[in-house]
Amino acid sequence: MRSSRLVYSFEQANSDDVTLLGGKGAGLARLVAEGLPVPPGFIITTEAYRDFIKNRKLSDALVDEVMSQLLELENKSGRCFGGGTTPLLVSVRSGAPVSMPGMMDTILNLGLNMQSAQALARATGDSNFVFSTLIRFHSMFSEIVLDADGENISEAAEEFLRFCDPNAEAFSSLIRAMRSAEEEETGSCVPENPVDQLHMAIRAVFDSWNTNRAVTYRRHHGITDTLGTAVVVQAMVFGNLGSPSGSGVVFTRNPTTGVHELYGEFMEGTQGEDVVSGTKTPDTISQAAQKHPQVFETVARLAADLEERYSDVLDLEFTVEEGKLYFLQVRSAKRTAMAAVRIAADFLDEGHSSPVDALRGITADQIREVERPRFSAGDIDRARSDGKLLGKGISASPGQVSGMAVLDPDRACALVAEGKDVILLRPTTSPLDLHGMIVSKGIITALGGATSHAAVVARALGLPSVVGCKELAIEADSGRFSIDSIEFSEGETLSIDGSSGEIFLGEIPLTSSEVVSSALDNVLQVAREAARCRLYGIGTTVDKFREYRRKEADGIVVRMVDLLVSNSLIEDFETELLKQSKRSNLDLRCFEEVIAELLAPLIYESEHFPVIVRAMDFLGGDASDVLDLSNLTRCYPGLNLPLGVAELLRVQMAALGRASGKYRDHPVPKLVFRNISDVCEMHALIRMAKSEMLLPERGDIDVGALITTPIGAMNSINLAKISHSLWFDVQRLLEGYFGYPLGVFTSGEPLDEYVKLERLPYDPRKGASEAQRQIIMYVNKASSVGSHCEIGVKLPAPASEELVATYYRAGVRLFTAEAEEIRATMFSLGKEALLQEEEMQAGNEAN
Amino acid sequence: MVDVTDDRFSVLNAVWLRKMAGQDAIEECTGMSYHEVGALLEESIELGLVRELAGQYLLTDDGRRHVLEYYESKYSELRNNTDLISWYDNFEGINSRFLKQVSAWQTEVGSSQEKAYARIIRLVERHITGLTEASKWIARYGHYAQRFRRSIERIDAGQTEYITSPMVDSLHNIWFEFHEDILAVLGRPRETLES
Repeated sequence: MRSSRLVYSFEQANSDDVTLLGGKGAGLARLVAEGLPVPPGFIITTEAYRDFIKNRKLSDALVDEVMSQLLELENKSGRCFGGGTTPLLVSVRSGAPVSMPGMMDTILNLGLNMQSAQALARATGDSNFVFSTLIRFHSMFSEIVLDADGENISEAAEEFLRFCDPNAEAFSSLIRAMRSAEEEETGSCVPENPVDQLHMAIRAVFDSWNTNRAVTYRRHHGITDTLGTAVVVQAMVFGNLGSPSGSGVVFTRNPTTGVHELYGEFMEGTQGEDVVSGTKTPDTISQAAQKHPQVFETVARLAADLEERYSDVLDLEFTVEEGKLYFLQVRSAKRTAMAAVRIAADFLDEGHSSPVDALRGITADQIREVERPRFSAGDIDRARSDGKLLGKGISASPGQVSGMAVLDPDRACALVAEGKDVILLRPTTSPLDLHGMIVSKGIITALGGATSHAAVVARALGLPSVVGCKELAIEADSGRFSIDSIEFSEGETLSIDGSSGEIFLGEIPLTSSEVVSSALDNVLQVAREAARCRLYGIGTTVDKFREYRRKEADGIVVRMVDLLVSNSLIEDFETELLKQSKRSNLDLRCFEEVIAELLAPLIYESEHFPVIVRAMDFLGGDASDVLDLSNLTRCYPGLNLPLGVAELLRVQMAALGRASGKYRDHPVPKLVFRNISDVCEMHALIRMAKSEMLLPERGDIDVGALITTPIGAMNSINLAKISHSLWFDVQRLLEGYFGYPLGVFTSGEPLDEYVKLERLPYDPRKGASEAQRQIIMYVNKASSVGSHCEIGVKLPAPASEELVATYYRAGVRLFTAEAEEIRATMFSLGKEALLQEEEMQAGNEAN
Repeated sequence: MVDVTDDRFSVLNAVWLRKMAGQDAIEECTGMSYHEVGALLEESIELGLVRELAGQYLLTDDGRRHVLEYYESKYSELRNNTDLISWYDNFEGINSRFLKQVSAWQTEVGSSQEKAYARIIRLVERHITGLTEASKWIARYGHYAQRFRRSIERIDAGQTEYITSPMVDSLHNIWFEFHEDILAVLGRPRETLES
C-alpha cells in the first residue's frame, strides 16, 4: 500500500519541501507559486527515487503517475508528445536536494524522433534548426544515458550532413545514421518512441545518484545516501517560432560593475538554453528593448519585482515564444568583488534591502579583493598619450602591476629575494619557469594564447598576465628584449594591464578605486555599527596610525620589536647586550631616551586613537625573526624566560614612561607582555611598571598579557583577576597545543592534506574545531571575572569569516588584526552580528 | 654509454616532464616507493644524469640526452603503429577542447563556469578511458589515469585548486605532463636533442 504520491506538477508541489522536490524542482515550484510565467512541467520526487531503488525498476505506479502528468502537460501546452502539429518536447534534469558532482545534468529536446522532427520543421519553417537540434539531442542523450562520446555522435552526424541533400527524408536518414554510430559505440541507441526516451532518461538520473563520484562527494560532505534525487521534466519552449521570439539572459544589475541597469543579452530566433555560440551576435538588452518594447517592459518589470522580493541581484534565463515570455531559471547572480560591494552599498542606499541582506551578498575575500589597489583611469590615459604604450597582447589574467622586466626565472627569484618587484618575460612558459612565475608580480609571454600554459598558470596563481604579445622578442642570454622593435635591457620598468592586454613603459602608480572606495566605506559603516566591536590594528609608524584611522580601526598595537627594527635600532641593542655580557649588572639606560623619542609621536596621536604597546621579549617569534639569538642567549640564558632579564623589560617601561611624560594631557598607552603564564609574573610586571614608569599622578598603569601558551590559557581566570587586559593569540596557542611550527597554521599545505586524510578529525584553523573550542572556553572563563579586565583576541592573518564569526558568537568584542586585514575583519564581524540578530528575530517570531 | 633501465628511465622521465621536481613529485609521477626513487636518484646523480638543487632535481645535459635517446630507441617501432597514431590524433582533439574548457572555467562565472567544470570532468574521464586503453602500448600511461582519478576525487571533495593550480597535482599539470610525454614517444618533443 503506497501512502504518498510520487509525482507533482509545478502547481501542485509545495515549494518549501526541498528534500522531496530537490533544489531545482522547489525553485521552479516557487516561481510558479509567485505567478511568474514558467513553462509547465512536473517533478518526480525523491520518494519516487526510493521507490525505484526498492523495486530496482520504474514501478507501474510510478510509470502511471508520470504518464498522467505527461497527459496533463500535453493539455496545458496544447501539444502532443512526439508528434502533432507543434510537437511537445521536454527537458529532463536531475534535481538532487543538494547539487553534487557526477550527477547527470540536463537532456534537452527529449521527444524528438522521425515524426516530431518533421512536425518541428514545419512549425519553425527552419530545417537547419531541426538538424542541429536533432544532433544536439542525440549527442546529449548518448553521452548522458548511453555513456557514449557525444562528440563522436555529432561528428558522425556532421559527416553525414556533408553528403546529404536536406529534404524531409533527410531527418529520418540522419537519425538512422546517428543510431548506427550509437549502436556501434555502445550497442544501444536513442529509441524512436518518446515515452521510452523519457523512461531511459529518468532511470539515468536515478542511476547517476550512485556513480562513484557522487558517492565519494557525499561521503566527504556527510550527506546521507538515502536522500536520493528528484527529476524535473519541463516542456521546452521555442524561441525560434514567429517574431518576436528568442532567448536570453538578464541580470537585474550589471554583474561586473554593479551599476543599476538591466544587463544581459538576447538572441532573436534561437531556442534558448541550448544556444550555439558564435553563429550570430546577440543584441544587448537595450538594443532588444528598442526592437520589442512590449516584451522587454515586462522583462524589466518582473526583474525589478523579483529583485525586490528576493532582496538579491538575480540572473534570469528567459525565452520569448511568439511574444510570450517564459522564465527558465532564476538564481542569485554571481558577481565580481567590485560589483558585490557596489550593489550592497546601493541596496542600503535605496533602502529596499535590510543591512543583513545587503551584507549577505559580500564575502570577506571580496572585501580584500576590492581593497587591492589598481591603476587609475587617468594615469592609464596619460601613459597612452605620452607614448608609453609599448604593445598589446592577449589579456590572459586580470590585474594591474608595475615591476622590473626580468627574462629568466632564476634571476627573477634572486631579484625578488632582494625585495624587487619583478615582471617575468618569457617566449612561452613551461613547468621549468614555475619557480620564477610564483615570485613574480606579473607575466608576459611572446607566444601562446588564452589557453597556453602561461595563461592557465597565471590565472591559477592570481597574477596579472599578458600572453602572445607578437611584438615581443626576447634574447635571454644577452639580457635584452624588444617590443615593437624598440630595444630594452633587462631591468627596465614595465607596467601591465592584464585586463586590456596592454604593456606600458615605466611605472604607473597603484591607487584605490574611488567609486568602490565610497561604496566600501558605506558598507563598512553598516558593519561597524552592527558589530559594536573594538578592532586594533598592528603597526609602528605615524603613517600607519593615519591609515588605520582611515580604515576606521579603533586603535593601534605597537610592537616594540617592530619599532626597534624599523628604526634600525635592534642591531645597536644586540651590540650593547653583547658588550655588557661580562658585567654583573646589565644596564640599558642609554636606550631609554632613544626609545622614548620613537614612542613620542605615537603618543601624540594617541589623543584620538588608543595605543597599546606590546613589550619585546626574546622568546620564540618577534625578536627571533630578526636576530640570531643563539649568541645572546648563551651570554644571557635568562632571555629564554619572559622575565628572565628584568633590565630588558625595565628599559621599555622607563622609555614608555618618559614618552608619556612629554604629553601630559594624552592618555598613557596600555602595556601588554607576551608569553605570561602565571600571576606571579604578572604581579612582578605590575610592580615594575609602577616604579619604572614614574607617572604617579596618572593613576594605575594599564598592564596586560598576551596569552600564547596553553598553561597561560589555563591560568587565564587568575591572570584576569589582576590584569587590565588579557589577549588570546589564536595562532600561538595552536602552536602551543599541537607543538607544530607556527608556519603550519599560517599556510594551506601541509595541514590541508593532513586534515583531508583525517589524520586529524578537524581543521584546527576553523572556528568549529576542538582546538578553537578550547581557546574559547578559556576566553569565556576569563571574561567571567569582571569588567575591570578587557578580554581580546588576536586574530591570525588572514582570518576566515568563519573563524571571526566563531569568536563573535562566543561574545568577544575586542580584537587585533594585521593592517591589511582590518576592513575584512570588521566586515566579517558586522555580517555575523547582523546574521545573529536575524536569527534571534526569527526565533522570537517562531515563539 | 650508461645503460638506462626502464625504472631509471621512469625516474629520469618524471624529472624531464616536470623540468624540476622534488622527490615526492617523482614518487607521485612514477608510482614508485620512496626507497626506490631515492636509490635511483642517488645512482643517477653519481652517473651525472641528474643534479640536485635545494631539494629539487634537474636533469643535466647528459641526462636530457639519455631521456630523449631512450624515447628514440624504445619507441621507434611504436611510431609507425597506426592505431597509436590515430589514438593520438583523437587525443589532440580532446586536448584542445580540454584547454578551452579549463580557461572557460577560470574566466567565466555562474552557469557558464559550472558547465565548463562539468565538461572538464567529462573530458578527463574520457581521457582516463583512453589512457587505460593506451597502457597496452605504454604501461606507465595507466599511472596517469590513476593520478587523474585521485585529483578528480579531491576536486569533488571541494579542493578546486586541483583543477588548475600549478602547486598541486592538478588536472592541468597532469595533462601538460602527459602531453609532453606522448609528444616525446611519437618523436615530436617540443624540446629536441639539438636544442
